[in-house]
Order: sequence, then structure tokens, then C-alpha cells
Amino acid sequence: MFIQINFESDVPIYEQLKNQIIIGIAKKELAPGDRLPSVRKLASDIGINLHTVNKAYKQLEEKGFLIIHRQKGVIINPDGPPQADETYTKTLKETLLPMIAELELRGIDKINLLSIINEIYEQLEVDRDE
Amino acid sequence: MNNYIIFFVILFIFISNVIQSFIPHWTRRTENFGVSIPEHLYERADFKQMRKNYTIVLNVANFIAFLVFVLLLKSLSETAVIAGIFIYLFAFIAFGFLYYLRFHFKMKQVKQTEDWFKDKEEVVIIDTKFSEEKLVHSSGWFLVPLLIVVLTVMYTMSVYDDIPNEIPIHTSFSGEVTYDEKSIKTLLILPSIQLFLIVVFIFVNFVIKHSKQQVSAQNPEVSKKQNILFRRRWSLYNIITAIMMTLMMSYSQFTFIYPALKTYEDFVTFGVLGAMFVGMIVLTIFTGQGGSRIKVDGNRETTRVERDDDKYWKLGQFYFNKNDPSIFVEKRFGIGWTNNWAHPISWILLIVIIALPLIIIFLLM
Repeated sequence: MFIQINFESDVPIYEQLKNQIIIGIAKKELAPGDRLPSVRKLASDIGINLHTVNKAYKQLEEKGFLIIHRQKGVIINPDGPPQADETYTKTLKETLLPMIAELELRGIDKINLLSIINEIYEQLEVDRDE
Repeated sequence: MNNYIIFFVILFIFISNVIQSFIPHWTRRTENFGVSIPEHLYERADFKQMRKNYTIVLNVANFIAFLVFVLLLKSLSETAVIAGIFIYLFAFIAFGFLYYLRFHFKMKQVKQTEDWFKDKEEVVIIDTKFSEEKLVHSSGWFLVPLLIVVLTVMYTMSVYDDIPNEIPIHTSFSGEVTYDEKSIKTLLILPSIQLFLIVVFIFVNFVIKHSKQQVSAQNPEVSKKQNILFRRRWSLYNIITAIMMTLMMSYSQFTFIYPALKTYEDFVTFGVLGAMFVGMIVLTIFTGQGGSRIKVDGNRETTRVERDDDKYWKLGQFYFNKNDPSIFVEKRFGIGWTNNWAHPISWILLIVIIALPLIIIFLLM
């Protein structure tokens, strides 16, 4: 999978890395059990500090997307992240609330938002089938 | 004077200067005289003119220097010839660099006034599966030259008593041969140098494999394939060169045992060095830096451009980036690889590469 980092962006580099890996897994560009480059290798290839990559990998590991082995290296968790439960849904609602409030104020109503969400889901599916 | 050896040395310098003059045409298409540019601007008329001008001026200078040197050759003393060779070599490198700087600064100026990267998204793209690709040929191939050295040493030792007492240890340009008395030590000089060179070749294969991944933002798929081929081809060249050089030096070792072989020694030496040279030129012309001259089909994306990392390339040629943990990176203006000079290991390696042969010489002398 190609990872694209924008150094000019307001989104921190470790966030960009995390986002792209999660999207890559969702699109099946990264399959369960696939290897990712070591921290040092990825940092060298992008040309960034080791800590930046380490931070992204650590957070992805906590969320259950990656497994970091001392010997085997970094692999995509074959079991995937834990399925959403009640607590997860609760946090999700809390995260979405201010966002949706803002969207409403900006003139994006429920139907509008649902169609945007639909579009994104479809896009993920299209990329997966390619 | 042993004229033809001198002539060959001068000819080698002449040819390597010609190679130097073509460098701007062999770089990646994302740079011109050490300044990064959007790929589609590579063929711009004024940029093309700069590259052409560089090549013509360097070739004219080189040709005149070569001609003057060769014409003067007969009237020069041996010391003057050796001095002349060094002057020809280094003065041309200095001249080429200064002439490069002229265009480098011009490019910087053009870049500043035109601001190409304004509306483009500057990104770095990497492939997470790049290191899983076959990037180089196995270092196991270096067992071949190692075996040659072992056999050479074993043979030498098995016929030790029959080897003539005087070993020709050094031949000057004028053809005068310095002899040394036969000893185990003198007979191990060449094999030691062979071993040192093999270590260097293995190291180069390591560098080719582990150097920083550089995938073009405008066409990642294409440049990835180009880059893989680029590495594989140089790795193959590296292995073949290692074997040829080892054979060449074993031949010299055998001239100690059978002095009659001495007749063909220069022929073998210049044949091998010549073949290496020709191979390098052919490889460069058909591959280009980073594989930029290899034809690969693929789409081009124009909304993205490579991240502008000019600030890390001092004078456009020396990479100095403290945030980058890479040690080896592709050269910008040239063919092959260079170091991230902000990384302490780069300096340690440089010292080791210089010190190791000195230590070997010291131990053997």
C-alpha cells in the first residue's frame, strides 16, 4: 500500500499515518497478517523522526489494528480490532455530537449528512473491489 | 617510458570526465542541477538549454585539457606526468563543480520567482511493501570471489617452494620494477587487498538494498518499478565487478608464480578495468538515476508534487537532514548513492572506509 504524507498539512504526521493505515485496512489494501515496515525503516523512508512512527504504531496497537512483535516485527492484527460494544458506541456518540451540532449550524441537514456517509461507505467498497 | 600505461590512465580520466559532463541528463526528472522541480517541467526549453550548455562546455574543456596533456607527454619528466595526472583529475572535478554551481544558483533563482509549488499538494509517498520486494541479488554471490581468493592462497602456498625468490612488488610508470624477497607476507598482500575489496562490494550491496525508498509523488507505481530495477541492475553490476576484479588480482598473484604470465598482465588489467567502465556507462545510459530512464507504462497524476526538500540538500548535492534517520540516500546530481551527513554513522563509515586500507597496508609493510 502507498502511504502519502503531507508535510504542509495541519494534521500531525502521526495522525496522517494512523488514518492512512486504518483506511488501508478497511479497503483491504492491507490484509490481516500483512507486515508493515519496522519503525526505523518507515521513519527512514518518509524522512521523519523515529518517535513519530512509534507513536502512530503504539496507538494503532492499543486500538487493536496492529500487533508489534519484538522479533516478527509489525503486522496487521489478524483478528482485527475488537467489535464495537456499548461503551464504544457511547464514546462514538459523544465524539459525534459536537461535530453534528457544527454541521447542522453550517447548513448540512440530516438527509445531506446521511448521503455523504453513504457516499463514503460506497467509496470504500469500490476501492475494495478494485 | 612505459607510454601506453600512462596513455590508458589519461584515457580513463578523459572518459570519466565525459561521463561527468552527461550527469544532468541522467538524474531523476524531478530535479535540475540539484534543485527539485515538478516533473513536467523537466523538458522546459531553458532547462534543456542549461543541461546542453553544461555538457558542451565540460566536453570542450575536457578535450582541450586531454589534447594538451597528450601532446606534452613526451617532453615531461615522470614526476611531471604523475603531477599532471592528478591536476587533470582534480582540476576537472573542481571546474565541473563550479560550473554546476553556476546553474544551481540560476535554478534556485528561477524557482523562487516562479513558485511552482503554490497550488499543488506537496507530499511524500512510500510503499509499505517496498522492502518485501526483491531489491538486490543475494549477497551469497560473494562466495564466488571469496572462493577464488581461498583457492588462490591455497595454490600459492602449495607451490611456495617453486616460486621465484624475487617478487615484483611494484611497477612504476616508466616500467621499472621493484622487487621484494619472497615471503609469506609478500605473497599475502594481493589476497588481503582482494578480501578488503570483497568486503567493500558486500557493503555496497547492503547499501543498495537498504538505502532510502524514493517513490515519485506524481507517478508512484511507475517510479516504484523503475526504482526496483535500478537497484537490481546495480546490484548485479556490483557482483560481476567483484568477481572480475578478484580474478584480475588473482592473475597478478599468478605472475609471481609463473613470471611468463607477466606478458599479458597489463592486457588483463586494462581489459577488466575497461569492461567495468563500459559496463558502467551502458548501465547508466539505459537505467538513469533511480531508474529514471527505464520505460515503464503507467498513469500520471498532476495534482500532487514531491515534497520540496531543497533545504536539506546543501549546494544541491550534500544531504543534511537531522530529522531523517536514513543513512544512505540516492544522489541528487549523479548516479548512485550518497550519505545523510547529519547522521553520525555516515561519518564513522567514511573514516572506516579510509582507515581500513591504511591499516591493511600498515600491517603488511
